[in-house]
Amino acid sequence: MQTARRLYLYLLSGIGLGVLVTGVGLLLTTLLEAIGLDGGSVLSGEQATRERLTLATAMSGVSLPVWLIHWFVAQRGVRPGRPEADVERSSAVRGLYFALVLGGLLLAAFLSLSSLIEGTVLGIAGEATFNTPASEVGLVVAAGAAWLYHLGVRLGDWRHGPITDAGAWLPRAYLYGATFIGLMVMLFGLADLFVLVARLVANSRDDTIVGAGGLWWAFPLASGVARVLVGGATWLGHAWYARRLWSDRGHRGSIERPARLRFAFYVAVLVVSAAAAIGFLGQVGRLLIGVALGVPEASGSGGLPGDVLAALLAAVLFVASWMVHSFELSRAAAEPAAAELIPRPDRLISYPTALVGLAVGAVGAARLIGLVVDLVLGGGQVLAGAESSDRAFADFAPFAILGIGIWMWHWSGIMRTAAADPTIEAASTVRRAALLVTLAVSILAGVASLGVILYRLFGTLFGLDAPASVASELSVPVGVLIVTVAIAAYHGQLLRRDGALRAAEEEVAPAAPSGMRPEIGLTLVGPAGVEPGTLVGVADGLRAQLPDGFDLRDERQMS
Amino acid sequence: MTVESRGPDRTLLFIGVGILALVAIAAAVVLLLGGREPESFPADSAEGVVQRYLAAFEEGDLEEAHASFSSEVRSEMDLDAYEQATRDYGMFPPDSSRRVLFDRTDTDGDRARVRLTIEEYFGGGPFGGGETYRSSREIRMVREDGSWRIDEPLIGIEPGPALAPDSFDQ
Repeated sequence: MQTARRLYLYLLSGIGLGVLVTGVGLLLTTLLEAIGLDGGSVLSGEQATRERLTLATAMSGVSLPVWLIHWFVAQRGVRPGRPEADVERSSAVRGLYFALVLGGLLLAAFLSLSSLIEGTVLGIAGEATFNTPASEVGLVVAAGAAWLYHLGVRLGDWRHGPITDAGAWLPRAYLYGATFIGLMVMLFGLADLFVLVARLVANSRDDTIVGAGGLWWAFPLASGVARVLVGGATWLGHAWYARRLWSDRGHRGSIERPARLRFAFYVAVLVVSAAAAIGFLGQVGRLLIGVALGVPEASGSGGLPGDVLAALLAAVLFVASWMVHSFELSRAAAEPAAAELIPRPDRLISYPTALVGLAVGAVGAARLIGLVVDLVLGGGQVLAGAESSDRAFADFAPFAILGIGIWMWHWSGIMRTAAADPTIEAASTVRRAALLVTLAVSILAGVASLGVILYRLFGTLFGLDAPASVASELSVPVGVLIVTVAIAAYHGQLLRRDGALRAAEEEVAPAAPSGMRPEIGLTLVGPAGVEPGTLVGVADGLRAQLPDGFDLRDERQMS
Repeated sequence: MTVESRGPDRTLLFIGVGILALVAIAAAVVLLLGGREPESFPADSAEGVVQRYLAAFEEGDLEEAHASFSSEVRSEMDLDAYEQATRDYGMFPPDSSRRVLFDRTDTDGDRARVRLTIEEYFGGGPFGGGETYRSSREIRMVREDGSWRIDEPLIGIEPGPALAPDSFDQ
């Protein structure tokens, strides 16, 4: 019943807020244009202004009471002294509301601010822009103000006591999601700026580029600068806030420090950083092999030295991101509250990075096998056009080497750990998940490629038109099938061995002593009507206060 | 080093050597077997006419390309219209990543169909959508004055503007 009531209240509040922010944004746009911050919008003019003013007033007038009434009732429920205030603050619906509202408002402000910066840079460069500064400023101010207000309300919630379970992790997902997106937007924006600078330097005297449209670099520059500034600000702001939470010595810090989402954030950054680093390094190899084989350069290229330098700089950027975040992950896992949750942080670094390397290397290897099959068995009479085998080789060989190289680098460490203590490694959830994901993806890819091969085989048997060269047609599926069968066999055999080790350990376990450390059983009892999540939060708070060597265990353990 | 720890290292060593061998083999195969040039088909065959038409088109010799069409196609689309249609479709320089493979020619009296496979490679590697797309193409031919002619409007290898519906009554 309470959940249905909350859903109604927060849904209406959210809809009301969305319309209100849009309406206020339009009102501000009209106001700003009236005072001269226009920029020559095609939609400006007396009639357009009146229509927009009418629309903005109507939207604001309708949505303001809807939002105010529902938000007032929602806020009344968490007012200090109310009997259900603690439960209300930790409710999943309220947590979801804050996650969505903060995320949506941030996105609106993010996009508007990016457009504003892009327009400003283009204006400085003397290029025309379709964006009007007034509309961007209006939305940035309206969304930004609403975002700040909701942030303040949420901080107020935390000041009144612990928030647990979905009420805590949903807004936390927003925090780490925004940090991740901000970081990635900034890094890829920087990488694009490197490419632009390299092309500018390499082609500074190239008449074809300068003559192709004047300031050809203005749009890439504006886009890159906007992404670096807005993405960087988003990342810095959220990362700074997250750091403040982790250093908090109260109940907030004790809940945030061991949060799984914090580690999921690190893993996500490691995965994308590793993939991007391999991608840019592969680009360097692709360019160099292409030159060695005489592959024509792609049009619009900034020349070999410039392109190689740009890709190298971008790769260094992502390698640095990978290193910083793997260090941060290890440090976070070493904190007392997190040590029990993440006993082996190196697994969270090695397995995801190895999987990225394996994925890229497998794609490269499959395409190289396909290339060999095509050239050796493909045949077919060429009527016109040139072959692209040299280009395909340059495109995939560096990724096969780099991907498998990265995989081997991390996998050798994993194998050494497994060899040193096979039973403990076999029991790891991270290892099991990595092996199962690899097995699942390789089986799916293998089945898909086998399907293509059988389709062609049956098609020939049933008299369908065969292509000019069946071997060429099937070269890539054959390559994929060979690679995926090898990967599935290798990882399946590891899974089987791990399973046997776990089974053997379970047989031995009952005979072993139940534990050398003395322990007593305790039961945490809360006031009547309290949700289980609140009890977990209180237990987390108690755990943070324990002296060294003491543990307060629950069943939420992760290896 | 124990036997247990030597095993996994040896497995990885084999995998690493295998990948390097694959790259070396692929490089050797590309250098030895890659870069096949188009075969020369007999000028009086249907596929030979298509080959010469494509060569003329790619060299920008639209007059020569237009001469490969049947009288019916040429009457519906004269040289000016063909040049205009080519401009309208957008003339790009010949894409080095595209090749046309000859499949077979099905002949029925003075009419024939040349079956082709178009291979287009879009580069970029695993992160750039490096893919090879293959599609089948069938070109109608007709024998006129003892020579094969293309009996449908083409812009390069792509279907050209549609002609009057009664143009291809057989």
